[in-house]
Amino acid sequence: MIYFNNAATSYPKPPNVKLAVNDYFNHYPVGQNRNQLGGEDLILNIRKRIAKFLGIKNCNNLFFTSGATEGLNLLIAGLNVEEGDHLVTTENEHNSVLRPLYRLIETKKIKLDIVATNEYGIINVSDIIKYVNSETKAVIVNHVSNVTGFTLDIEQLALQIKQKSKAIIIVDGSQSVGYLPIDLSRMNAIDAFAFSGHKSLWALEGIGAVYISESLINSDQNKIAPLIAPLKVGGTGVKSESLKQPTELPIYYESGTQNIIGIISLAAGVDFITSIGLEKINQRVSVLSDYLVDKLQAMPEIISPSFEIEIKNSIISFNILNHDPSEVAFILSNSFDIIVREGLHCAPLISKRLGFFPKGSIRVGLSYFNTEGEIDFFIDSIKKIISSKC
Amino acid sequence: MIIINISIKEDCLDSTIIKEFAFDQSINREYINYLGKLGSMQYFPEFPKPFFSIIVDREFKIKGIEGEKTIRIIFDNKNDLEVEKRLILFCNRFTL
Ligand SMILES: Cc1ncc(COP(=O)(O)O)c(C=O)c1O
Repeated sequence: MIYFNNAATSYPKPPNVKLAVNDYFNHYPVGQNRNQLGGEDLILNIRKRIAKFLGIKNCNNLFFTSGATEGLNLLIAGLNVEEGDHLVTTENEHNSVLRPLYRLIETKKIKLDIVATNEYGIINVSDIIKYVNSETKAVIVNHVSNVTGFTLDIEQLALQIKQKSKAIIIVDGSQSVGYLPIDLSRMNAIDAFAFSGHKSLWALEGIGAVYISESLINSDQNKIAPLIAPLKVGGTGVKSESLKQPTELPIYYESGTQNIIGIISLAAGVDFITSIGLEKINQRVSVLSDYLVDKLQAMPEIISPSFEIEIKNSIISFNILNHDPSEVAFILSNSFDIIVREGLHCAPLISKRLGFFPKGSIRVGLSYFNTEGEIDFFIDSIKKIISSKC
Repeated sequence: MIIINISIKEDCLDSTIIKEFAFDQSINREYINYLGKLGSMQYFPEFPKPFFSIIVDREFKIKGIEGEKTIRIIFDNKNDLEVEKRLILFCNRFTL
């Protein structure tokens, strides 16, 4: 089987991730503030390692979630906004941003500007900046589009926004983390960054994290006046005598028993990336992406925004003229044993902009483990599908 | 051939619905030809696992793979249960 659906979830996972997950069963349960086994808390240790990987100075600004969806819900639903407040987002967003924002329109009557991309899914920093004014409360953007692979210059964007307004800048890093270097202490104009673990960080499904910068948390001698409310409150393992949610970090945002096995897999995934080197992974995947794009581009029946944009990661979407993407994906999977993703990829606005609505497109999500041989077989299969006129 | 399970794969926003019929046996060429009597059939033996589709205008489209035990049916009108009933009867009537 050829697996080209890594932008949804990566497969296979690296051997050390499998080992770490298996090893979990050989030990007594551990959990933050919930046992007295001695030694450094496992979760604290992992939190430090992941914070280091992302250039986060204080690991207590990193909070584990069930994935990017939960992280983005936390950040968007937790925003301190009122009726009439102005927010900005783009057409490149995933439903995990669009739906929480639409809920804010319904519940809080906020005003939302959705910045359009061009016909290839490209959006410039200046396009977004035009919509930001001194009244804007938050700007929420996707770092790398999960449909086109387009990369937004989030560092530039954040810097320019800060010159114009006090807006909170929230980034969805689901498709960039693990491929592109992320140094959040350098990119310090970014206020919050949410991501998934199960894609290019190689972790299990059901784990992700969110970073919230010091500027939003306002810590003051252990007393915090958070600008982002927690999504859930409940058991934290400390200060159990109080009926109010403790305000210490990180537990303020992490009520309930943690997904320990997911967290362990995330640490192992990050270890894998560090052992190979992020740059090497990025280079390898870029070589594969270029190889695939070149071959697709040579076929006149293929329509793809990737022919117009510089892909810095592993995502390539396309359609075949006069072919239904769901049928192509069905044939690829069932006749050729190739797994791709088809449909709107939970990103309806960009699919519309690209002319891929309502049927969507076929998406290839490559990984470090894919090969040129697999791409050759995939291209041959596409050619067979085209020539069969099915 | 007997249908042993029917499941909904996708309930689309438009009027269509995609269902999967699972059979008690694998679908062979003979059965594909039998289903082909329903409408216009396409069969692709050149694919590693042969793919077939059958379109019955304004009613449904069947997609399947020779050797597998399931077919997918895209019904044009999810509210027209008569069409589904007739198709089930037709599928079950064939004996190998
Ligand atoms: C850009 C983007 N944002 C958010 C998500 C949601 O991620 P998760 O599955 O971790 O909730 C995805 C995953 O499909 C994505 O591609």
